[in-house]
Amino acid sequence: MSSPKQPALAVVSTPFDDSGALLAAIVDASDDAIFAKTMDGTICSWNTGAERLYGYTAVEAIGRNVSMVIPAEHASELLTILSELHERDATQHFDTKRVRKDGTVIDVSVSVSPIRNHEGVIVGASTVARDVTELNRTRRQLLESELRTVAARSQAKAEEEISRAKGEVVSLVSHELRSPLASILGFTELLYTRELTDAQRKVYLGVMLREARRLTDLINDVLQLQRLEGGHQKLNLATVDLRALIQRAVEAAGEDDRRPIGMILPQPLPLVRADPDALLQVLGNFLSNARKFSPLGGTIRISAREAGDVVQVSVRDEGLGIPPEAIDSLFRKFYRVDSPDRRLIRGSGLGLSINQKIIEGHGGTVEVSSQGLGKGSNFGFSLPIAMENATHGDVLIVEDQPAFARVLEAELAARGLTAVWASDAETAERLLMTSKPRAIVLDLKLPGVQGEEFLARLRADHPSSVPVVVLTMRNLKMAEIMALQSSGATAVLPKEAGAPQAAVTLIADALFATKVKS
Amino acid sequence: MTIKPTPSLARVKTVLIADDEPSMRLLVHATIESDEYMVLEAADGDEAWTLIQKFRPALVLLDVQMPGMDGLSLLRAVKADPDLQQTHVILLTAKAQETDVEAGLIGGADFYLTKPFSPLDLLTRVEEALQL
Repeated sequence: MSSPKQPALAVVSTPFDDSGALLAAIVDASDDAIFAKTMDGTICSWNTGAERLYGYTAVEAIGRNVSMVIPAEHASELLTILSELHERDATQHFDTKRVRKDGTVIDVSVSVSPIRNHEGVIVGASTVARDVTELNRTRRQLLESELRTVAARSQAKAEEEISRAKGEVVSLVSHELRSPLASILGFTELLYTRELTDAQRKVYLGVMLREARRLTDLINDVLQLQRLEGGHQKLNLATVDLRALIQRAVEAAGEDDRRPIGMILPQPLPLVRADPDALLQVLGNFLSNARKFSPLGGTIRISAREAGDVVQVSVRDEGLGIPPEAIDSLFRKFYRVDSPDRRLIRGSGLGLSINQKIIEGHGGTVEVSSQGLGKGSNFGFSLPIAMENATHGDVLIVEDQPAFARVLEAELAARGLTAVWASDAETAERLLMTSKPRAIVLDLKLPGVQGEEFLARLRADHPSSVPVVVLTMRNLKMAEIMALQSSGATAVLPKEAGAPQAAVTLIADALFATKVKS
Repeated sequence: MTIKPTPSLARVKTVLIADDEPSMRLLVHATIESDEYMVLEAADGDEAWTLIQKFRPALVLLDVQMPGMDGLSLLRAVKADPDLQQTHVILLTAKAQETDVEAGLIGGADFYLTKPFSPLDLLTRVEEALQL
């Protein structure tokens, strides 16, 4: 910069050595800001580059403290720079921020070097500063765009993975749907277009019925699994006595002389928090698998035991078993072990996936083991033992319909009463051993032990005055209502609109009346 | 293997159905049942290959997705065997994916039908293949 004007490198009375006009011209011609300061930060020289960078003229800057260009949040830098200079006696390079006269903050790259007097004592510092705001912005933009590219790439990869997995499921589902559909449509066409004997018609219709049922099961399984995976299937958690539930599942599995089911159930088994219907489905799936994969017959054993803070349930069979290499894939959707002896065994290939999702939804785990082909299999799951607060409540609800129990719970909560819900009488009896509810709402029609019997046993074992409100769908005759009342029902209400509210009002009245009396 | 060969049947044309679904075998069998030829059934690819080698059928109806040797492998095996050059192949597939079908046709299948298919359609194709 061969500016004709007076060089801005003004030198006032300084402790520095006299500097020549040539040096001054070189310094002044530099694009970089170059200035000198004393050890207390007083500016003593200020070139044209400094004027441009900081916006202060040499006249304005010289004599003032360099802290005027240091932003408040960087104020401590000055002291650090100067003390470092003393200690290390070397040029320091660093990137920082500075503030211009107009207040704009700029990124600068700075080199600070010591200035010595004749005796070699450090008496000040020279600073060369360069504006890197633009450079930094470009760098930042580059980095951001790189990051965006990486993020976009990983998202694209994730989407690809999802779409691949979806494609796989669609292809499997379409295969599984097409086969039964092909039978149903094919036989329908034969029935429609051909003259057939009664015997043929019967065979064809039988196949159609079986395949249509298979199709329905498959669709239900696919939809349920989708609900479970999407988290759309809500669990209606009740306090559950697994012993009663397992007995019920075994009963539902029905008789099979060649594949009897034995139960090994210790008493008492800790209560768990579970959705009774979902758990029955899980047990049903495991039991039906055990029978299906025991084509030559064999005993199936279902057992439950307490293990630390969980209850473990296992279903063991003596059937076809599982080759070791298939174990890891077993809970995968549509996965089937391929061996000639199980080709005739039908199923959607989704039962185990459904079981896994349901159990995991309960905070439990599923597991499988097998000694190998022909050596039977052992499927199991564990469920956390119910916490103390899940087994105590002001009111015990004995009701097998989740929706009804939910309404009752909400009504009770609205009146400040806590509830514990048992979906069968067996669980309710277990609860009564450890907790003392202040009232009971009892449904008559229950899955195992019926409401009437529960009531009779309750009054025999605990001849207390705990109020019991009976709710029933049945159209009871006067004599039946009176019988219930004589066996200890406080009130008998028909299950109709408004029944939960009426029951809760009765209970609240009874409880708060006792409170006033006592 | 449902039918044992007898000398008198040796000159009769044979059709083989290979499908792992019993109801599908029944449907195809019922559809193409005829006095003109003998119908055999196989429940998987390996059984089908044994029967094909033994009976050298005039036509095989192959399910594409089968345990053991699948339909496409069987097709390749048939086409590669000099003794089976007269054997026609119709593929039945539950996969509606073009690539499978293309693989089948390139592999030399006469025709393919996607499940669900019309039995009458199938019968027409079978009669064409056997030139009845």
